Amino acid sequence: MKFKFRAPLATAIAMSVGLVVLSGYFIPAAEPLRFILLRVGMVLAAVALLVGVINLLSVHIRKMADKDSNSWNSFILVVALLATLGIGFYDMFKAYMYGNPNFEWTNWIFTYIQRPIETSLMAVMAVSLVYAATYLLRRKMNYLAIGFFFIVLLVLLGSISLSMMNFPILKDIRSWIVHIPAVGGARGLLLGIALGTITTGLRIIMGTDRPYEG
Amino acid sequence: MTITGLIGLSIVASFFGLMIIFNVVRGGSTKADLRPISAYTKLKRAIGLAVEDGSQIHVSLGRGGVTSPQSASAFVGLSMLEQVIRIASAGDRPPVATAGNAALSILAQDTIHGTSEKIELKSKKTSSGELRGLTPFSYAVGTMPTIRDDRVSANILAGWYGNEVIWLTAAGKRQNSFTMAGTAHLPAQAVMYSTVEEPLIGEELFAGGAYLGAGPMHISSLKVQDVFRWILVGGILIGILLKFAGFGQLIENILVGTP
Amino acid sequence: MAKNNCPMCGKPNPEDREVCQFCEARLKPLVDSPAGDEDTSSLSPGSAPSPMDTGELERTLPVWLQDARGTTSPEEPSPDSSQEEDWLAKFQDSPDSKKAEPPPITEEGDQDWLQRIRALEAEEKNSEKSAVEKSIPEEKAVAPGSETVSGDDLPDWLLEMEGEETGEELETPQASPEEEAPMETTASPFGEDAEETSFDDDEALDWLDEEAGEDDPEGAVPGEDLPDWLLEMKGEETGEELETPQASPEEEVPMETTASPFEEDAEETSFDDDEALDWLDEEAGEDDPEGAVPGEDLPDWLLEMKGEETGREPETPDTTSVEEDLEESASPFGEDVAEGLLDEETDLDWLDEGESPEEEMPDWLLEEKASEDVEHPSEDEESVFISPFSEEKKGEIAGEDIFADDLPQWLSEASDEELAEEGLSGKDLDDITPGELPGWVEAMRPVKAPSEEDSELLDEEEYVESSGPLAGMENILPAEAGIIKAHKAAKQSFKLKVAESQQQYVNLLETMVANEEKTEAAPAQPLISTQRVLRWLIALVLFLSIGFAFSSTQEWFSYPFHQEETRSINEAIQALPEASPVLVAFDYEPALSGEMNAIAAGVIDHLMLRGTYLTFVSTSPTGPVLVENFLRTTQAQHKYIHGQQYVNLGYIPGGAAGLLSFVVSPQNIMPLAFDGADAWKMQPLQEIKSIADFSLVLVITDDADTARIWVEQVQPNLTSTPLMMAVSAQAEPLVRPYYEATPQQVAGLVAGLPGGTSYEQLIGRGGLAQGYWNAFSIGIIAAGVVLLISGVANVVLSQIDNKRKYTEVGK
Repeated sequence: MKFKFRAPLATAIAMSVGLVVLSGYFIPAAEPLRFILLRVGMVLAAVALLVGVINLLSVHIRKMADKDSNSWNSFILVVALLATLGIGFYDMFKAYMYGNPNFEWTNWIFTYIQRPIETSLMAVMAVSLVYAATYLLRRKMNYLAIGFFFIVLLVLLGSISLSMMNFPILKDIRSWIVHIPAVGGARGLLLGIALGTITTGLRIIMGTDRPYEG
Repeated sequence: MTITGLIGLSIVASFFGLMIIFNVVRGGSTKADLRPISAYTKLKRAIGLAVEDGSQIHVSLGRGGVTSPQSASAFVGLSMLEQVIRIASAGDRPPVATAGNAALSILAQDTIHGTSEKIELKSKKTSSGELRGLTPFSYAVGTMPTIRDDRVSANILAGWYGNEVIWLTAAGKRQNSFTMAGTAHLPAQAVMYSTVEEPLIGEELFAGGAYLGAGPMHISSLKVQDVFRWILVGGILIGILLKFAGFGQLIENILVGTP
Repeated sequence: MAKNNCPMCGKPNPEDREVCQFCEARLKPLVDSPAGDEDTSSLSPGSAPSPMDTGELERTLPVWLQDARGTTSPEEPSPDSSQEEDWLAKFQDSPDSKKAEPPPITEEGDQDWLQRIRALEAEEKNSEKSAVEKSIPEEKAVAPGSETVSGDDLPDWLLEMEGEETGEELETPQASPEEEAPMETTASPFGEDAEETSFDDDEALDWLDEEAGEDDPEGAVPGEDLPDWLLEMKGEETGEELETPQASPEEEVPMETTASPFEEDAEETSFDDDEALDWLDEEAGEDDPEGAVPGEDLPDWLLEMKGEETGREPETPDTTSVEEDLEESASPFGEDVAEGLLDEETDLDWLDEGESPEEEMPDWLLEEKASEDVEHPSEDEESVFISPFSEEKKGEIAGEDIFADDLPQWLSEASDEELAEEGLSGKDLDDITPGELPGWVEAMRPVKAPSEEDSELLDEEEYVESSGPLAGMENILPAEAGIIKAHKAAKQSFKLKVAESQQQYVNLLETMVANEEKTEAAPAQPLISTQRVLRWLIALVLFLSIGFAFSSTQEWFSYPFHQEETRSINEAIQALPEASPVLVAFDYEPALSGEMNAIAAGVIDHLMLRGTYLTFVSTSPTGPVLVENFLRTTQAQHKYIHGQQYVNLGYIPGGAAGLLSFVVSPQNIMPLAFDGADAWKMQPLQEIKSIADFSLVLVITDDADTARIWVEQVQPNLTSTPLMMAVSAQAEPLVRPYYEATPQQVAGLVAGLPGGTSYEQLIGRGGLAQGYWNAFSIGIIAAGVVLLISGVANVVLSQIDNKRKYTEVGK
């Protein structure tokens, strides 16, 4: 019988590290150990980023072979990723070898490619959000949806400081909504989420949930 | 140790103890009287339909990091992924998982691999866990083709998202496929509420494991959350009364940590 | 009144009866035992069973068997007495006894019998030949006092063996300890049976011991020398073992002892004629390892069984061959040994009947075969082993003329050499007279197959249904022609009388069915859906309004007045001395740089105006590049130089955990700057040991949760250093409570574009936020108008839809 020691070992490590880090928050004596583990975790997270990039690359290289419409997208992604990686290495090489830390080409890519793309995506998202709000009443005509819709409208209108349309009452309503119901509701939701977060974390520390045992 | 630290430790210890006690008292039973949450009821039906018609289920784990509080919703997503793989193992197409965080994608692959081994799924039926982007928008854009895939009939969005989740939900709506979405990010919850038929509001996301039959400890966790929810309600009311009674300073000192 | 139990049917009979009143089997033997001593009375059927010490019987075993028992198997070189016990216990696992309840240990003598046998084994090894000489008188001394054989006295497991075989337990990989106990107890019935036996012929026991010796795992008899039928048995058993590779020793044992029932069967028999067992001697001589008789001389059926027992063919034989083997081997075990073996004439042609078609086989055997064929085809042979003990069998074998038939071929093929070895000739065998066989043994002979004449008689006496579902059943009332009087059926009118209203329903149904078959064409998808049009329309309105605002130089909207939280951050920065180290976290995504740059521009401008030393970090991978871009695009006028006026430490991996590590020991966590230079050599940073050594910490983020991480992980370690935040509008409601809390966890706050604009007003410098303000305000108005219109439209459309639905329902 093949004995798999990986899963119990991973569980033991996860449980012990979780307990030490958790106790470090409350027990001062455990703080040094907690920081050591956190540093190790930080390095591992950075390595995980590299692993993730490699995974991303491999997935899209595999998808390039597919004969569907997305294969071209995968091709563009792979080329862009490799090009950006090469440029990044080139800038790092310049910075370390020649003391020229301006990261010229990396900044160029960011300024003229990534940032405009992401910003325009943000603009599209703004349109999508407005559209979703307009479609809300069409899809859900109930009291909650109506309340949701009118609160959005009030907060928007309350943000306008048009001199000719300066209605102080709108600002007061917006301020009240933002500071009282919104904060109260958010806190209530956050308390529930915090309770769920605690139990989720404890289940992992107890070894009940083991997403790492593959 | 400060009073705040002591309170925190006692809360965590109480959670720990109560979870074990409830689990022992329940005898490890997976049956519980849970209030019906429409999203999970429909999700089970959608999974069943997907198994029947041989379509695929997409589990999106969001972009939350593993080493931050965002990880809680991501771990719930992983639990749901495990259950979905189990339930849908009889289907023709294995579920597909997408993630927007590198460490999360590794955990997703681990979950898929581990679950497939547990239920002895053949390798050809093993699901895939893929990293679709490292930034919020790149992840959303990278995941949209999966949702728009004709072979995908149900989408489970369980993880950490921002407002960009609207693209995922809109894509599911355009595809006319079932979409269940839940996150711990409050603005994203608002977006989900306005765009998804079955949003998970608040802590409903964290009940996913219990509703999908992930194990008795998940049900015990729900019980403990209920207990502490009532404790918090009582604490808030008592705090209000104490403040009205002039003990506001005492409360502030306790919160600051001075005895 | 004392009663004798019939040895065949087991039913009680009056003591004075000589023939069973139920099955007509002879209750008392016609001929006394050869010794003629008083102990032969114990052979009479129906005598009360009594515990008996039969350990002495071991000495009666033939030399070859004693030798066989004493010889070890290759796997277990040393004989062990416990294995003898196992030898008996093996029966427990035999398929026949799978479902049998463990029989109770009836008497202690049962166990003693076994123990004595074990004890005697050691002695008998040294005196093998002398034991043969002693065996006859010892038998006579022991056997007469033994219990008589009757059906009632049969142990439960034997009785239940006649039942249905399941063999399910063979599939259980390991026997539990609870299962082991009954296995051992099953040994007792054998001992009891042995005690019941009166042995008139030591050669008969030789044969039996031969069986035992062969099945004994420790037996030294080579497989080649075993009879085929035994080899088959063994092979089959081994095959079963192979099927259950993890079978425990407890499971393996009974498989090797399946021959024991025959031993018991034989022991039940009282043998009056030594000569009758001569052929058995031949067999014994063959199987005797010392005899060195080659196995090729054995009859075929013995060779077949031998092959099976040795396990040379681990695969289960197919059903056909097994059935044939059954038919061949059933007779010798079921009848030869039990009843007919000692017939004077050794006329065993009835054995051929075993190969006759199945309809001539006894019902119980047919049932056994049928059930086994369905359930356990590989265990067919073992079912035969049960047959000798079945009551039905005993009841049926009442005929006596079966021994008048010829010898079976396998017996007639015995070589002269074998006979010579036994000191017998063919003539000696012919001299065996039938009158010397006890009558009750003859009564046990199987029933001869009914002849045609008999069948006719039966047909006359009993009507047997020959066709239909009752085919084969007897005593059924035959159908008489007069019972059923057929007559012509009355004509029925099939014309339906349908009313007019019913006809309407029929027509309606037909119409509906017809319409069901007609598939309506799916409505064609419009090239441009209304949703897409609406989406484009909204985008157009927003882009046009914002574009119009950018193109206009007129300031239509007044700048918002600064809030208290904005003034707090302004005052804190204003109080900083020159070259104070300030930590700035750029924790937002590039997509939100439009808003976040505008919010943070005024604050960073103020910090640079104060001449502070800025240290940038980010928990986002894109943060470091974002910093450089921000400084180049929004703060270019300050011409801050990396390393001299600011340092970009880069990306802190690990999220909250990494941030916490950085808080405690920033120099260790981030030793190098973004460009690889030693970040902490700069003058203001040399004194920084922890994050609390910074003069101010400013977090620029679009995410409320990122802000919360900074508050929860960093703020408690800041001691007196203020934590300020510049957050997006969506994060403001969640961050503001930290500012409004007592004590404050966030000392100052710039929230959204209004906050950035007001901050620029505070410092008196126009910046990015003020430049966006017009467009932002117009965009908000446009969005609000769109929402308002769409809301009204949706309400109206919903009402129209509802009215339409009501109208359709009303119709």
